[in-house]
Amino acid sequence: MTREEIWTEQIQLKVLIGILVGVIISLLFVTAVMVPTIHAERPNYIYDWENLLTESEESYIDNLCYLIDVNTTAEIVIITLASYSEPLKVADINEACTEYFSEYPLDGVKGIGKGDKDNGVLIILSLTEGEFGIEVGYGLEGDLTDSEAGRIADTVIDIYLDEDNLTKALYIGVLQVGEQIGYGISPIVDVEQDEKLVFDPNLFRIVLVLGIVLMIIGMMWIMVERRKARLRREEIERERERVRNLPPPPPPKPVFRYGHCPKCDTKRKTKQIGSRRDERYDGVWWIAYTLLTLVCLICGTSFTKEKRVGRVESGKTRKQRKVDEEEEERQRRIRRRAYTPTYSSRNSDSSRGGSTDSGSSRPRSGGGFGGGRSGGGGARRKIGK
Amino acid sequence: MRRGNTVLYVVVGIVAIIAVIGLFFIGTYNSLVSADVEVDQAWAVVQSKLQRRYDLIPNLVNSVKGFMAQEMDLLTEITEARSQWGESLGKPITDQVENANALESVLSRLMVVVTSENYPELKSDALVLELMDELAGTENRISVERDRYNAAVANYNKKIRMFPSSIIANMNGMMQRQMFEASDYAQEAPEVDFS
Repeated sequence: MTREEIWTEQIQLKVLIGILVGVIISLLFVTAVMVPTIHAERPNYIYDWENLLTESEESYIDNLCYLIDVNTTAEIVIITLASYSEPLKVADINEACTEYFSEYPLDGVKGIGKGDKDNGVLIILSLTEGEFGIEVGYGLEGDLTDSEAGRIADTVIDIYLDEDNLTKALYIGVLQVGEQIGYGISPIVDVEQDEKLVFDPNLFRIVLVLGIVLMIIGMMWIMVERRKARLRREEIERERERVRNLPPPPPPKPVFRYGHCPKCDTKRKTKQIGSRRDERYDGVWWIAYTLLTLVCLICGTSFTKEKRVGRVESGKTRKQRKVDEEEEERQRRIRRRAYTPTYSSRNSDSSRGGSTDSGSSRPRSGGGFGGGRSGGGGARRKIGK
Repeated sequence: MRRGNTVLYVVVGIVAIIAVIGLFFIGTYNSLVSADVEVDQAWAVVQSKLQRRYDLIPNLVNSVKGFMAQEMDLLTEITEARSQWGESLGKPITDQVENANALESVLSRLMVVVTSENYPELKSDALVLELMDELAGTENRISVERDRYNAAVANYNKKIRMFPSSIIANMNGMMQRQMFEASDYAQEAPEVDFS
């Protein structure tokens, strides 16, 4: 095997596997990113489905809720419910509280309070059903206890029934809730930017599957290449065999050379039985000639005949000339052997590597707004005039 | 095809199949484990809410004792039911659920009495009002967390019984889990209404 063929067979396999494994590992690291949890404010805080408040009244209370959110990241949402069947089918105020708090998307946001803090408060009131409830998220159960919520609920209902001013009642209610959370007492809270390590599971799965597929494809390609190399090698072998096993050159045909038989003086039917190469010096040059021994087929006498070959170099003896000739023959043979046909093995391009676009938008989980949950804490009241 | 090449193809094919099956096994097993742990978590939350009620009751009983001298036997029943639940914490889940439900039914009787018109002074006492709110909130919490626990158990049971993850569940000896059945008497959380 030539050096190029060794490269194809062994090292190429290792290099390819190494490249693929490296690509996969680096891609997996890419899918693990630190996502900063960004807290933003909700688009809307008041959902007046029972149409008890005017626009300006709604924005009045909404502003307060927005301020509280900016200061403490706690989301206080107020819903006035027209019925227990629209938009969600609930059985009573309790179910309404939990469902609208965690399960119902309000303006596309599901869950009140920030996802990682669960700091939401839902004030639900339904004049049609005559019930009022405050639902406190998991994260605020320490700040706003059930008895506190009950007290605030009583305050709100008292103000509403005595003064018939729902806006003022709700506003004061929100203010008191905010007080419990820390708004108004402590100055603007510095909201820390938390960071969390997100190992995007979907991307991870995709990368893993992609990697395995690439490996399988790579191995199949390697096998194809090996087969091709093997076939090429066999081809070369066969060619060499063929050249080596050429049929031997045909033996020289017997030549009938004619000569003058001295005895029976005929030119026909003479046969050569031998030949010899020799040289003679005629005074000026060395002449090489072939001495042929012939035999007459009629009378059986043998005689010789000279056949001139040509002039040869002077000064060299026949032995030396033979040595020179042999050396030349050797050189010729060496040169012939040194020339072997080389077939260049084509190294295919092995610069493969999957590249997944990991610049796509990563999901902002946990941050933003919404996503908070509650567990049924808070207080419930019945409203009656 | 030469012998060497065939063997290589077959080996690669087998390895690929094993890898795919292995990934499937791992993925399903992990999701089963995750569902199981979620059930445990939900149960722990339920227990913490029940514990909250357990801690609340002595305070409550003491605060209403002054107003409701006639209901002493009801109050003693409550105290007994409470301690019975406290003792059953090490026992299997069925006992715990039974005792929790018994306590709930006794408490609801108390709530009915308190919100009735028999004891008007009760309703103006600030402490009683607070504790009643707390109790109502706690009962509501228990009911919500119980529902969530049952949902987690349902999810886990589904995964265990559905094919093909049932194979892996059986391999690891994962059994179905029991839901928290509400008692027949107290189906809803008691409401506090002093209007």
